[in-house]
Amino acid sequence: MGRTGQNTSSTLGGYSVTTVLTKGQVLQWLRMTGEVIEENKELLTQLDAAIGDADHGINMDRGFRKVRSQLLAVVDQDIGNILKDTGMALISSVGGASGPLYGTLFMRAGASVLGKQELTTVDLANVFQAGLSGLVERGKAKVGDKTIVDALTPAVAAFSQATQDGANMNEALWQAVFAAEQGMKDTIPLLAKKGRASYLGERSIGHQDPGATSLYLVLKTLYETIS
Amino acid sequence: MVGIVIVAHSAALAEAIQKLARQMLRQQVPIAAVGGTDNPENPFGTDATQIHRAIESVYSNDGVIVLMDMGSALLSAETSLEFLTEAQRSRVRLCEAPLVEGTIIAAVRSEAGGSLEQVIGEARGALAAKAAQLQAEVPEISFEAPQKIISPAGEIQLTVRNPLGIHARPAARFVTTAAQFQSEITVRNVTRNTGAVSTKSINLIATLGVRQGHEIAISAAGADASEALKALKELVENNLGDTDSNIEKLLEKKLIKPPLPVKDGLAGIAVAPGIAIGPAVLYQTDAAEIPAMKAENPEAEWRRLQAAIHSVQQEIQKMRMKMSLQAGDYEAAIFDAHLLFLEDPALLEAARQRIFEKGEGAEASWRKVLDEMKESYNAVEDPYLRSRGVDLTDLESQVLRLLTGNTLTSFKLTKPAIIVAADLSPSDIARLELDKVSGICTAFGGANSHSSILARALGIPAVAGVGLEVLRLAEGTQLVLDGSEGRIWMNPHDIEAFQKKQEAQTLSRKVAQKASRKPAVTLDGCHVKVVANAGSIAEVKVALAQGAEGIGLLRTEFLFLGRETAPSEEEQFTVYKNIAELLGKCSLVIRTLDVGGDKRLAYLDLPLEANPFLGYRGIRLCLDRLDIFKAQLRAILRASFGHQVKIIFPMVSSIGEVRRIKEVLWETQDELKQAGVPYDGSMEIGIMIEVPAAVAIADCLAKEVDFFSIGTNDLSQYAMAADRTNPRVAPFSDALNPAVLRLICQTVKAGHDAGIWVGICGEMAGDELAISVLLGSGIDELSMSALVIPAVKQVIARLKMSDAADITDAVLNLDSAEDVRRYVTERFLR
Repeated sequence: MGRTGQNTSSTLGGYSVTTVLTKGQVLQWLRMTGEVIEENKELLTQLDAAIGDADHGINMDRGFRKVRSQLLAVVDQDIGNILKDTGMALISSVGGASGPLYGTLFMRAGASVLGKQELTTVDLANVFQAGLSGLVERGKAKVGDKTIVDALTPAVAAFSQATQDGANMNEALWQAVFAAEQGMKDTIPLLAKKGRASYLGERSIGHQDPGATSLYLVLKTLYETIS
Repeated sequence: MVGIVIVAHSAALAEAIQKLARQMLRQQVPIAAVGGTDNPENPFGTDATQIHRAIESVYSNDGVIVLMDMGSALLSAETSLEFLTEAQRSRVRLCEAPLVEGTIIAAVRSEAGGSLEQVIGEARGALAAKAAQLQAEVPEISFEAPQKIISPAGEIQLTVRNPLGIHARPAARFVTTAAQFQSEITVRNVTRNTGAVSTKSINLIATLGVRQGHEIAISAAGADASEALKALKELVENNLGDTDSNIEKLLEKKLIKPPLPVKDGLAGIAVAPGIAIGPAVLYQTDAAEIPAMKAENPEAEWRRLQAAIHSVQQEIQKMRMKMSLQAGDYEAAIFDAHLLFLEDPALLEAARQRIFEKGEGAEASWRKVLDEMKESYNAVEDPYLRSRGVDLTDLESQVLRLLTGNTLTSFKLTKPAIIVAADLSPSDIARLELDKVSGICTAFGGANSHSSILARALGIPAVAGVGLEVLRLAEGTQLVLDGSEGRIWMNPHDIEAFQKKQEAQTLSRKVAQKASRKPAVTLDGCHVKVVANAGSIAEVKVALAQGAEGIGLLRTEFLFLGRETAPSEEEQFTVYKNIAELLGKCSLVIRTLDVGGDKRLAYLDLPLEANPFLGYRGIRLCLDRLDIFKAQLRAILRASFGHQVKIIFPMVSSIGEVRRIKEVLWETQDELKQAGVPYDGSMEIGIMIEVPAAVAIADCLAKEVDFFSIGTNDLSQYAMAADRTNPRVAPFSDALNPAVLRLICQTVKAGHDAGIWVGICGEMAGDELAISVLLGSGIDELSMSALVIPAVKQVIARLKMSDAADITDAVLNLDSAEDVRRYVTERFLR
């Protein structure tokens, strides 16, 4: 199982707990995600070239550059608004379908924790759930359609389950990342039902979905941030 | 105008489509093109925030339609809606139409002043039109297509365009039109791949579930098959009689809000706006008891059922009349559908079979047949059609009541009250004493039910679907009903607040009316009389609300069309008198019947003509059919008593005709005088100037009558010898052509020289660019479509009469209608 991280940002009754995600960590996560996406730009674009229009890496990189460039401007805000601003930045800069999809995900996620300076495990579960709902509402995709939803849905379920089982934040997140990775790999044999890839029909089979891949990277980065 | 936003992955693509659309337009339709990224290496993409800005840039209260290419364009467009305000969002629609064709059609429709719903409707039709075109072309290319003439009959395929598809009223019009022909006619829904049904059965037609954009195939076999197909084609192409404003009324979406919990009250569906305060009165209809016995004598049972149906038909006729006067003609057509239900051969045959073959009584057979029919409606996907089940229940119980002798417990209101009921049928509403009904609240029902449509048209605040609880209220409970919010409150303690709100609403309505009722006055202080054209009672009401100073042209054809016999003198008198009363001191010009070979009336038995517009029509026909003509003259003369009524005759082309008309009129007046029936002896007599011959002899005609009204639509097409409905020559018949303008000026001069007044009716009177030219010609009255009155009044308020005369002098010598438009536009900009 995962390592137990040392989140010392919050103290209750004098002893440290590892159950909250601080604003600083959120900012760090967003910055690091930008770096990770940049590193994986080529990979994402190649995945997209196989079944789409070969721009997912380029688009996501452009989007997270915008996110990074405005991080300084939002440091005084609460986590909810930081996530919402991230969503807006993505919507206005990505260019492809991932713009409104990731944008809505972040905006809805932010709206679920407005005013908070730190997030408990329960808050984070809400953030994931709200983000997933926004994503599904926008893209109208189901599990099995070969989209981001295929990675995020099992991740959200795993996180909630782990939380209910009494896992701390790191453990729960590790479970979520593991589930996302599995979901991402499970997209390989699927026939695309949404987006440009769906025009390819049978040809989409045998390739990993780029959107599910980027989502896995985003989640994995969050886990690494707090660990 | 409705704004248009084009969203594409490429900025170049979006802009090119914008240019393509602009080529088709004469005016500035607000169009925004958006797309692409600012990254030259990866230029393709979409951005919801840019789309949001584009929407804002073309936004107005008329609304915005957004068309997009694919993929992220859809998602970004959807996302952009989240950045709009609630109010904006309700007027912005994303449209799935093909981007290029959809944008161009939307732009053209927007320029033509189409509403948001119309623009979307037309854009959506783009794909169907393209598909139909490509399919239609295929057999013509091939020379081996003998199948095309397989049947002696013929089949046509058409796309249904009216937004609500073939629901009850359009279905009724379809059946009525088909019934005028001898041929066997069937129709099927091609889109849904249904079987063909007879056009005799309104129910079978309605269960085809034809919605907007569906393709239907009509086939006819018989002697007059081709005429039948032509007439039905025309009907479908004219949106089955659903005019735009009618459809908007039906679709008043903003009235449909989801129920919300309310403190000390109940929430339902907002049906008709306004606040009502008063005691609750429960309206109950008792279900008829049905005898379970077997029928002894099937013949007698069948006769009993037929007699009951016949009596109900007569009652419905009466209700139709009442509603047509109080709610409007279009709304009253609900009852036409009811009448057709009762004549439906499919229904009657099923009932007859049950009586003769199963030995059922009249009551049981009727109930079972109606129940089966209701089930087939419930199986239709379309919620609009499903709600028609209520109409069937209405007919079921009306006939059953007559059969069982359970007459309706008389329902009397002693003072104004709020009616509380489980649900109200159209016939229930027609039976209410409407002046005592301050509001209507029902436990069930929705905004689209026929009774809701009636309530809206009658201006009675109404809330539907508040739930069963409302039926448990004690009789006389003090209620407050807010038909705009869809709520009711029981015994509210703050009743004064509601009274204040009610008063404020009444006041603001009055203020708005007052503003639009101000007379039109030019900058140099000349008053211009602005009146409206109308073709139904509802349109007269709209005209008054829009600030018309009277009705300059009442077309009476609405009384004559779509029926088996000519309207009686009495029926016409009631309608004319009611309209005259609505108008009070304002004048009402009634035009006598103007039909010809283009409108086939069963009781006129008119031959088909090659050129109905140059044929046996208008006064030519009336002078030969004195039975019909004199009944109308008597009705108009009787209505003239005590009112400001004038009479006008269409299609006059000679002095002889005018003299003959006057003889018949004097004869009719003498008859009335002898019978002691009062009429206005000094009623003004006028003629339409629409035939060029009448212009040529206008000086002579002017000595015979009290006024002229120039019908510019017909005058321009007759003068230019160009059919307005033929797109290849329609531009020739532009009324702003200097040739037509000269005819107008000649007519005005001839009239004024003889000391009579001259008005103008026709689309030109509502054309903002034509106003100055018409005023400059010296015209005394402008009569136009009610909806353009506020805009025309504004134009007049910016004009000087002295400038108008200069403008007219100048344009009479220009080369073309385009030059006239350009000249007037420039004069205005200066």
